[in-house]
Amino acid sequence: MAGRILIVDDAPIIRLMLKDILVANGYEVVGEGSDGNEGVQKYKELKPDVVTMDITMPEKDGIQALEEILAMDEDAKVIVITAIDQREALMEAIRVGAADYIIKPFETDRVLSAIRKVFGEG
Amino acid sequence: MEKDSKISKAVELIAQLSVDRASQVLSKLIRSGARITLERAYMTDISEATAKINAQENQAEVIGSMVDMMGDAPFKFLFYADAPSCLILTDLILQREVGLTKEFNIYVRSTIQEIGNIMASAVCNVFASDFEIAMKPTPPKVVHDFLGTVFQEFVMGTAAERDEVMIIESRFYIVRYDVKCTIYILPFPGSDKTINYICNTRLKGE
Repeated sequence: MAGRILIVDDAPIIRLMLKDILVANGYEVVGEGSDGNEGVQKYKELKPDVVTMDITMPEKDGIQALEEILAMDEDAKVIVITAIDQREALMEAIRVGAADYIIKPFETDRVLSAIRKVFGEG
Repeated sequence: MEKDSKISKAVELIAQLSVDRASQVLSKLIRSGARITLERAYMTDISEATAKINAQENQAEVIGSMVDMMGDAPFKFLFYADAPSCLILTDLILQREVGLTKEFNIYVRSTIQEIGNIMASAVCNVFASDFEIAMKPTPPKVVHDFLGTVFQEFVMGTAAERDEVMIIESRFYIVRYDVKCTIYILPFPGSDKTINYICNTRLKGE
């Protein structure tokens, strides 16, 4: 069965790019969210295997959403995505419990490598 | 590069490092050779700057991405591109044939939002890593309007507190395509003094 993935990012273009990569490589994108609140809500509804979570988002940022998701499900696998060089935010996400990270602008190989690692395929 | 005598060597250096870093990131993002040149770093009267933009380029329709960088030396960042350039950038970022995007849609707006976000982060990193100033970007705000209106909104917050602002202005060149983009970096009141102080202190220490 294909891995079920939830994409959370405030930029539709990034959601489209990630979805194209994931679907082309056999994964199922079960939902999308455009901010941290939607990310947490859709995690509850959809119970995805993996979440890709942008860090800098309006309303509720990716780190707050990551904390809430892990509080609901300590086994949740969340890959954080952040713009190049936001090192402090990235370190904070890893401290909170992110499973892996992807830096924007990203290459297809790096996205797949992070996803495969989290699915235990790598 | 044209520069005002009031701009210190330290600020000039930080501006140059910022656009160099932004050039590298832009090239990677759009997978095409991109070069950003620092055209001017200058202090200007805010009303004069607004009037000049209104007079020269007010009719140009642009999409812009504004980011507030918060921290030790907060500043505002504006990336904008004219309408035809936004369509080209969208095709480049989606890695498809240039010309396929013919009209404005959420992906065009989002392309500018994301380029602004990523480039603002790259500029921010120059402040953070090279000068050890803690900075954090806020989510970008996308604006689609005439340039004069966009610029007025960009300077609005700072103009209320002072008459003179520092502007770091740069232009983009993208290989094979005629893409016109511009970055403005506008320190909040007080930030230019902080940047000057930190840069000068560090430069003297090196």
